[in-house]
Amino acid sequence: MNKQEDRVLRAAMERRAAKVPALSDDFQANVMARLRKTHPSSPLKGRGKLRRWWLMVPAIGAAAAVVVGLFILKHEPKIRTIDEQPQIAEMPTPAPVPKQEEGVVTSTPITAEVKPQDVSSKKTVHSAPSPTGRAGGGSSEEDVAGVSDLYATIDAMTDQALREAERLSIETLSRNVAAEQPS
Amino acid sequence: MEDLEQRMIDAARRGQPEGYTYLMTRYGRRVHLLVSQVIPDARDAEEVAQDAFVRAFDRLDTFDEGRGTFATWIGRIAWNLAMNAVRGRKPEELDLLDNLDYLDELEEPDSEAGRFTLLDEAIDRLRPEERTLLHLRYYNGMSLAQISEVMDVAAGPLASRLQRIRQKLSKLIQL
Repeated sequence: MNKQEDRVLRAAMERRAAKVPALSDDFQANVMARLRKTHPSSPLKGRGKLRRWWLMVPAIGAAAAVVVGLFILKHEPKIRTIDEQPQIAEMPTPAPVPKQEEGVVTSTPITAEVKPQDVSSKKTVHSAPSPTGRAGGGSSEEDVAGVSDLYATIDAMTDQALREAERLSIETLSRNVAAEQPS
Repeated sequence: MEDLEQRMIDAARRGQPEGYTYLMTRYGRRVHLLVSQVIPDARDAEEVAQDAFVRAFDRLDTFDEGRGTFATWIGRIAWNLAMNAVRGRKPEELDLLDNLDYLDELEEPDSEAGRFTLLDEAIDRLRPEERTLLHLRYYNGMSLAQISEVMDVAAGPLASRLQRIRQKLSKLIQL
């Protein structure tokens, strides 16, 4: 193509473009306003408010963590002092009597009055799992029943293990005593 | 595509105002001029240019950087909107009829100013498609391939049209 003719056409189009008025000052604002109407939930709308809400998220999260922590602590088993801990005599079920063997010196079962309470024993009553939860726990029964049942089960198993250990220690002691006695 | 422009397009996709602002600042005038080749009234042309940006931003997720530039993409949107706006009007209202026969009888201009005045009048009489082709080729400096993306016409037919326009205007553009 003829370069001279190209130059003439280019100049002519530039002159025509110069005659077209500039865009109005509110052109961009009008476009943004129309965009907000079509996308009301986009970040375009209320950008300042959205930013403030985002800043609150960490605070809300921290508050939620504190609430959850308090809830857990509230329903954590209360660690009681030895004096506060209940006596085994409160057990509704009697302790099993150790098996009597001939010639074995038996001793009375160690009761709670003599035996110091294990600080790991935390329940109010060493009984069948209580559906009511822990003492002082005024929370919803539905919320803590599961946790209470678990602790009750663990306590019962612990007591049973302790009793078995007592029995075995008594038996061992008895055997030792018997072995020392002159035949 | 420039890295800055790509970042601004991505920002606009995320709904960030700075992305929209950048694209409108960079292409607002360009889109307006393109539309004005079809719609002579400046206020109407600006309104259609607004429509073009609203539609482009609304469909920004469909813009594929691998298939073309943002300039040709929004140009295509603006061109389609402009042509849709004038369809249905009577041809004589829009001067769509190509009436350049008078040029055959015209004496060659005797001055530079005279030449450009006559050339301007002749271009006004071109069809919108021809006027747009001249604008994109000689004002925007686009290749026929790029113009093809905007006007949705194959490059071959565009080249033929361009040659035909030059022949019509030969008396005014030949020095």
